[in-house]
Amino acid sequence: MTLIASIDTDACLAHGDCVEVAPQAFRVDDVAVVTGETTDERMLAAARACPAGAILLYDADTGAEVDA
Amino acid sequence: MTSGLLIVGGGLAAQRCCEVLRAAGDDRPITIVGAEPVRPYDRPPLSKTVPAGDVCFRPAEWYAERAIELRLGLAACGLEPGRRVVALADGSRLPYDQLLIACGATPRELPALGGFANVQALRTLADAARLASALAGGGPLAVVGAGLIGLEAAATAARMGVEVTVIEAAPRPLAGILGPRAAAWLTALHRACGVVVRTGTTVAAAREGRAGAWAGRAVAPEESGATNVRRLAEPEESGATRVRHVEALELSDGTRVACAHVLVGVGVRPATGWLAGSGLDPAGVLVDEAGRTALPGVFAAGDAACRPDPRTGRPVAGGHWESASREGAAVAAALLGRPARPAGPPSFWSDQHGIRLQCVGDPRDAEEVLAHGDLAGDCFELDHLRDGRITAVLLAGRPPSALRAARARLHVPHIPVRSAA
Repeated sequence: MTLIASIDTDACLAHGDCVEVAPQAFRVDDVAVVTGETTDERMLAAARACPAGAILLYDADTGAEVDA
Repeated sequence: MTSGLLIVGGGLAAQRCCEVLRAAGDDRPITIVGAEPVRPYDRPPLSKTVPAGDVCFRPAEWYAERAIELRLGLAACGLEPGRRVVALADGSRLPYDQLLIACGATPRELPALGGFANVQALRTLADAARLASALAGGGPLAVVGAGLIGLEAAATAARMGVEVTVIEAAPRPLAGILGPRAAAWLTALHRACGVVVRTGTTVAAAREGRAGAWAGRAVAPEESGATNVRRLAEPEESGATRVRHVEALELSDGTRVACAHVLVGVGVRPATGWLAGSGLDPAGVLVDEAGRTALPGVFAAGDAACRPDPRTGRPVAGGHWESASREGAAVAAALLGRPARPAGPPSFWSDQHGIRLQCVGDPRDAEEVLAHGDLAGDCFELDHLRDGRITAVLLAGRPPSALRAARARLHVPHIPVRSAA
């Protein structure tokens, strides 16, 4: 499986935990933005680390939302 | 020549304001004056992890590249709104076009514990370094106040194998926020992890160890006969230069808690005393939704600001990380002439004993109804009901999707689940 991320910008409060966990995949400006890819493991860790629950993960093959 | 934006305080609200302004392409001059000698940093890790790594939001180049001047280790001491000038502790005076008061808060102190070398608060990076070094020396640690900071620090200490006692005046931990069910669960969690939790009791007196016995070791039991007990009402000894050290706390319920180090976490008050005489309230600056104060061009955000409580209407100071973040961004939006992002529900999170606790909404004075999981399993959601509506959801050990679902069901009328017949 390959996980892709998107940010719920209404929920994101720019905590920055995603950048801590997966600096290749996220950057925080006004709110977090997805800048690249990383391993599924790190994507899951980033989504779990987000205190606002603002990272949505999808299976790149099926498009189905994946729960972290 | 424009003076631009002057930000007094170099914490989260200041950082968020800068981030939003620069992300929007706004290039007005910005100067941050911070009392601590450190670039803006994130405070939550200070109580959540043992040795805080680099907690600064951005490297020094980030500020330089964006023409944000940092004047660190320098406190503000006065505001002259008529001249649009802030006076600093080094005697200099900085003009501003717009001023953001984001100087945060100062920990409250307990008179019974004043003046002791091994008593501290946990607010700054320096405080965290001091606590880490005390914990590395072993224990026992006494934590006065079962708020978020005290509980997180207690959990961190317990994880290091340090003996910890938490002392709380209220009948339960996080009493200002959580209801009795969640608090009972949290108390049980701490106790299961080896933390002694004493609620409904206060520090009546501090037992002082022998002079000179302070240097990183507790007074040996055989020496403890030569101690004196300092009562609450006793005035400060004037001119005393010797280092004083607490070796035990005597509680109002008669318990004696031995301690090598004491952490006091009994709340904060706005660090806004320097505003006396400016026309703004030095007890905390009242602001509107956009962070505007009563003075033209002057904003406030974060723990320095007071807002009307939506329930009581009374102004209350500060909040948590998320309110400081929102408020700093809201001030930036106001400066940009944009509408502020709609304020979401209040929220906070906490990590204790490996369990993430999340809360959205206002959980005060509500009935706690289990909506998912079970408390004993440390994985649950508690809906908080008031007047038939869900005012808050508290989640423990739940995934991000559960938090999003919880946010969506706030303020929805509660439909009781029919029990299976």
